[in-house]
Amino acid sequence: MISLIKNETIKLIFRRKTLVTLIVFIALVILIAFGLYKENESMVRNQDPKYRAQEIQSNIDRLTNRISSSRTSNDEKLMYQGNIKSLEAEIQKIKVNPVIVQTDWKENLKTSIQDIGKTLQSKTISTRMREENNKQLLMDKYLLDNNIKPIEDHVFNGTNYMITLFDTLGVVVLAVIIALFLSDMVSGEYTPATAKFLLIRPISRAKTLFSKYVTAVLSSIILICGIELIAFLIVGGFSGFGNMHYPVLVGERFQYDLSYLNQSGGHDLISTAGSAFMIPMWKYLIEAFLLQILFIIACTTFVFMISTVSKSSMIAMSVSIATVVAISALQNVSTITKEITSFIFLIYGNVNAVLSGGAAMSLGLPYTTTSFIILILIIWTIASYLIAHFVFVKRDILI
Amino acid sequence: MNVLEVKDVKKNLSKREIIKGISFSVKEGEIFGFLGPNGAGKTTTIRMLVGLIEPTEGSIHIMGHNIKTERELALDKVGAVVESPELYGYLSGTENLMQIARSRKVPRAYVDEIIELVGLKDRIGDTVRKYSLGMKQRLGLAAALLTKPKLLILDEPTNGLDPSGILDFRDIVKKIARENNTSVFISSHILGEVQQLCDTVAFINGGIIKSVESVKNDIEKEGIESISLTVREEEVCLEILKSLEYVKSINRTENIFNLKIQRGYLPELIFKLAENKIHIEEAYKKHQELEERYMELVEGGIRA
Repeated sequence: MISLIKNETIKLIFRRKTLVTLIVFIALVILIAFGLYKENESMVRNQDPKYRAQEIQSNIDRLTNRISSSRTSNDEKLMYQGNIKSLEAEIQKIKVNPVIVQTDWKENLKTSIQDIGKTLQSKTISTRMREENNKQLLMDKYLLDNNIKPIEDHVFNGTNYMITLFDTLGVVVLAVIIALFLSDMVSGEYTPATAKFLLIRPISRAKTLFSKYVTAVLSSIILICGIELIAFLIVGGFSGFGNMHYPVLVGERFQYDLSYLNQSGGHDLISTAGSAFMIPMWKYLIEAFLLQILFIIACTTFVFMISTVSKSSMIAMSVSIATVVAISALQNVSTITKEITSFIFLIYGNVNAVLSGGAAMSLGLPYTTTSFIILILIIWTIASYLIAHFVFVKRDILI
Repeated sequence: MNVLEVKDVKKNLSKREIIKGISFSVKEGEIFGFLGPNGAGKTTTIRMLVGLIEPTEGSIHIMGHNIKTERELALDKVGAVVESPELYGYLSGTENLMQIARSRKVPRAYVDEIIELVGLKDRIGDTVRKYSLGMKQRLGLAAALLTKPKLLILDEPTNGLDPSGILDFRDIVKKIARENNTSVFISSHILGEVQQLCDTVAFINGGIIKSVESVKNDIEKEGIESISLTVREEEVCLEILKSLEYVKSINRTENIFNLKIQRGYLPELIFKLAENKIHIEEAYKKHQELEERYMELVEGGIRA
C-alpha cells in the first residue's frame, strides 16, 4: 500500500497541473495578504489627526471654489458657507487636542459595559437587540477581566490574516482549487490510457483506487493548509501574530422569532439566548483548521468521485467547477433552494461562518448548526467514496 | 501444464455479442499466435485475459487460477501490453518502469537489466513524451517483462517498430520464451510475424476461433513450396515446366509464373531452366502457406 501511495505521489508531483495549481493558490494567498495590508493602511491613515485635518481642509477648499463660481445660486452659497464654518470648527478641535483617539481602552470598555447595562434594563428593547447587546457585554467583560486590549478586525497581523483568509477562500475558491488540482486524479488515467498498466497488476482495483484516494486527500490538505500555514508564519513574523488569547465568539444558535411575522409572511431568525460562548484565539484557529481540513476532505472526495465516474479529465473538471459555482449561486435564489442547498456540503467552505454559527443566520435556517454541518461533510465524504469505489471496481476498461 | 486456459468465453458489449464463445489453451513455453483481421475480437479477448473486462460467460484460468475469483493470483505471473503501450508521458522511462517495480517489489538492478535487454539504455532518462512509437513499444515490452512473467501477452507488438526493431523484438521474445520457459501470447494481423515467431496459431474472425493449428507441422506435412518465377522466354519456359513431375501447379500471368513445387526442388528447377537457355530475371520462395490458410479461414477462400 505504501509503495502504491508513493507511486501516486510521484505521478502527482511530476504533473504540470500540480505546479499550475500551486502557483495559482500561492498568488491568491499573497493577493489576500496584500488586500488586508492595504485596508489596514488606509484605516490607520484615516485615524491620523494630521491626515484628517488635511482632508477637511481640502473639502473647505472645494466649497470655497464653488462659492466663487458664477453658476452657484445665492441659497447654495449660504448653505456652503454654513458647511465651511462647521468644518473649520472641526479642524480647530483636532488642532487643540490631536490625541483625541488615544483614550484609555480600559476606560472605554468600562463605559461600554455601563451603556450596555442600561440598554438591557430598558423594557422596550427587542429580543434581537437584547441578544446582540448580551454578546457585546460578554466580550467586553472578558477583555476587561483578562486585561486584553481590544484589537480591530482590520489590523494587519497573523491571526486577523488567517481569519480573512478563511473568509475569502472558503466561499468558492477552495472548491475550485481542489477541482482544478484533482479532477484528473482518476480520469487522467484514461487519456492516455495508462489505466491499463495500473489495472493489469495483481493488485485489486479497490486497493488501486484507495491508494489514489489517500494520495489525493493528503496532497490537497498539504497543498492548501501548508501554504496557509507558511503565509501565516510569514505575515506573523513581519507584523506580529496578534493576541493568541484574544476571545472569539462561537457556537451561536438561532431560532425562529415566533412573536413577529415578517413582510413575506415568515418568521425571522433570532439568536437563542446564551447560545454563543467564547474560546481563545489559539483554540479557534485550531478548530478552524480542523474544520477546513474536513471540508477539504469532503471536497476532494467529491471531485475524486466525479473524476472516477467520468472518463475524461476535461469533463470531470468542467462538471466539478460548474457544480461548485452553481451551488454557490443557487444558494440565495429562494427559500426552497436554500433548504435544498443546506444539505449540500459545498456551501460550508467558510469555516468562520460555520464555527460562529453565522451560517445558520445567513441561510435563515436554524438547523444548520456547527454539528449539523460537520455531519453533512462526513456523510458526503462517505457517500462520494462509496460511489467512486463501486463504479471503479465494476467498470469494464475498454480504452 | 497449461499456462492459459480459455473455456467457452463470450462477451457482450452494449448488447452486441463481440466474442461468441471461444476456447483455447497455451502450454508452458509455447509461442501462441492470435491471428485475425481488424475487429475480429483480438483486443477484446486480450482485455479479458488480463482482467480489464469481465467475460459475460465462460472462464479464464491462468496458471490454474480463475481470473474472476482469484484475480491477484492469476495476474501475478502475467506481463502484458494491451494495444498501444500508453505510459506516463511526463515521467522518465526509468520512473515509468519504477512505478511497476515498486508495486511488484522488483529490485532496481533487474530493472536496469531489462532496460539493457530492450535496448533503451541511452534514452531511458528522457521523459516518455519525447519517445518515438517504436521506443514506446520497447518500453512497453520492458514493463511487461519486468516481473519475470510465466505468460507474456502482447497485442500487436511490432506496430511502429522499424525493420531492425522488429528483428530485435523477435530475438527478445524468443530468448525470453527459451530461457524462462515463458509462454507468449501474441495477437497480430501481420502474417509474416506470426509465421516467423509462433509455434501455434489461432485464427479468429467475427468473435469465433476458426481453427487452431501448429505452424511448423503444417508446412512440413504438405511438403509443397510456392515459387515465384520471372523469365524472358515465357512460352518455352511453360513447356519445360509442364514436363517436370515435381511441379505440381502452374499459374501464369504474362512472364511471371506462380508455381507449386515439391519441397526442396527449387535448385533443380533453376538448373533445368538454365540448361534450356531460359533467362531467369527473378526466382524466390513465397512463404504464403499461412497467408493462404488465413484467407481460407478468415476471408472464406483464396482471393483471385
